[in-house]
Amino acid sequence: MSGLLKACISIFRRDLTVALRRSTDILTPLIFFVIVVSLFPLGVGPEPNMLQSMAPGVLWVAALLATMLSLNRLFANDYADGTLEQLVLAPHPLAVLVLAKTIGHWVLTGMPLVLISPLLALQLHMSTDAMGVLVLSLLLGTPVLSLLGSVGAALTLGLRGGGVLVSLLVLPLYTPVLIFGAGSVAQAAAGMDTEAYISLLGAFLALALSLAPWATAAALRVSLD
Amino acid sequence: MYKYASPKNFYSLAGKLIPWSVGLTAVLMLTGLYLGLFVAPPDYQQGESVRIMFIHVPAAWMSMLVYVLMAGAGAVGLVWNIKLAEIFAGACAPIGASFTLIALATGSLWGKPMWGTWWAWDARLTSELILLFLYIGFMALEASIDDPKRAARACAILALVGVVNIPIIHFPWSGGTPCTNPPRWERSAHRQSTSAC
Repeated sequence: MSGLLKACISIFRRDLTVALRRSTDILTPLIFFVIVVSLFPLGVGPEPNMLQSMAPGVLWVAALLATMLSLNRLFANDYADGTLEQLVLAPHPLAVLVLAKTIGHWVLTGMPLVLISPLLALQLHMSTDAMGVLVLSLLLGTPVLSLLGSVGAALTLGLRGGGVLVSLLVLPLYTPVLIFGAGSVAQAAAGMDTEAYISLLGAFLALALSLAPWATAAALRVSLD
Repeated sequence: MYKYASPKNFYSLAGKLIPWSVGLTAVLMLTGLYLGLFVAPPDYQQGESVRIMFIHVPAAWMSMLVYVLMAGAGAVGLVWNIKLAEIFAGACAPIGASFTLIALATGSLWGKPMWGTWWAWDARLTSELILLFLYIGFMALEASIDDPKRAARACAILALVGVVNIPIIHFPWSGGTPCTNPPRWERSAHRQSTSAC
């Protein structure tokens, strides 16, 4: 058990170190998120009421796209230099190692999005109550996006046109998270109770945490066959 | 019976059955169309447009059923390594996608005279559209992997992940209008748009 834990921690550390050596990689999805959100007021006009009502959806869709764009770096580099094969050969359950990698991916992409979202919410005239729910819903939702995305990334590993294909596979799977994530913020903005939405997001997270790593591990084995 | 689980025997059996099933399909389809278009009376509320329902509702059923069958066959293929299950799952995708497209198209045609709009973002319409995307993703993944064995296994994993999504998008997620009477199954199909209680 301690061996497995040690392996997970070293994979997590390694992924973080590799990413920090090329820090532009971390910044790209974050800047994408900021730019996409900032484009909306330019596109639909600066009317505060309209921005306020659009904000939950805009922020959530932007977070979803930013996560999706960062998916290819989850396995692609490790696949190219052979690290992934070593992981598959390691004497530990692949699903748990994959989970460590996915958590690393979330820390590098999901967490920065969560941290910067209040600033963007402010830009879109969101109320303070809604802002708190936004952070909470993103905190619960972005790990689900990373976990589901890892399945798509593993399935499209090494395929031609993998980037476009992964969006085709992953975006339909993201819709429930989007519906409940944006729904919770809209609910909070309307001054209503958000408990049901937040609970469901938590349920998605529990479900994805327990099932997605197995699917990803199976997909990796298929891709590396 | 079990010898037909081998693709070699199955293909020759399927080849023999195809002309018969084509004939049966033509007879049943013509009978169904005749009954639906000429025998059935127009609805007291919907008028002649109700005839669209005879195609729309079964197509919507099939669109979901075929996806579940596809995922089930994919699981069987993954677990027991049965080649026929992989073939079955692969054949399901275009059929299911067609039913989904038919359900969407007929629903849209029915929605125009009934609701006054081609499209409404209610739960069922959205879920049906997502289902279409799931089928398209399945077919795109299948097409982009050259090795058929690998394609079948990858697609099975995708279908199984997607099937978790089906109950989530299948049941109405937005409360709709508060009804005092419990919504019946038929009504809950398009609760937001149709309920006028």
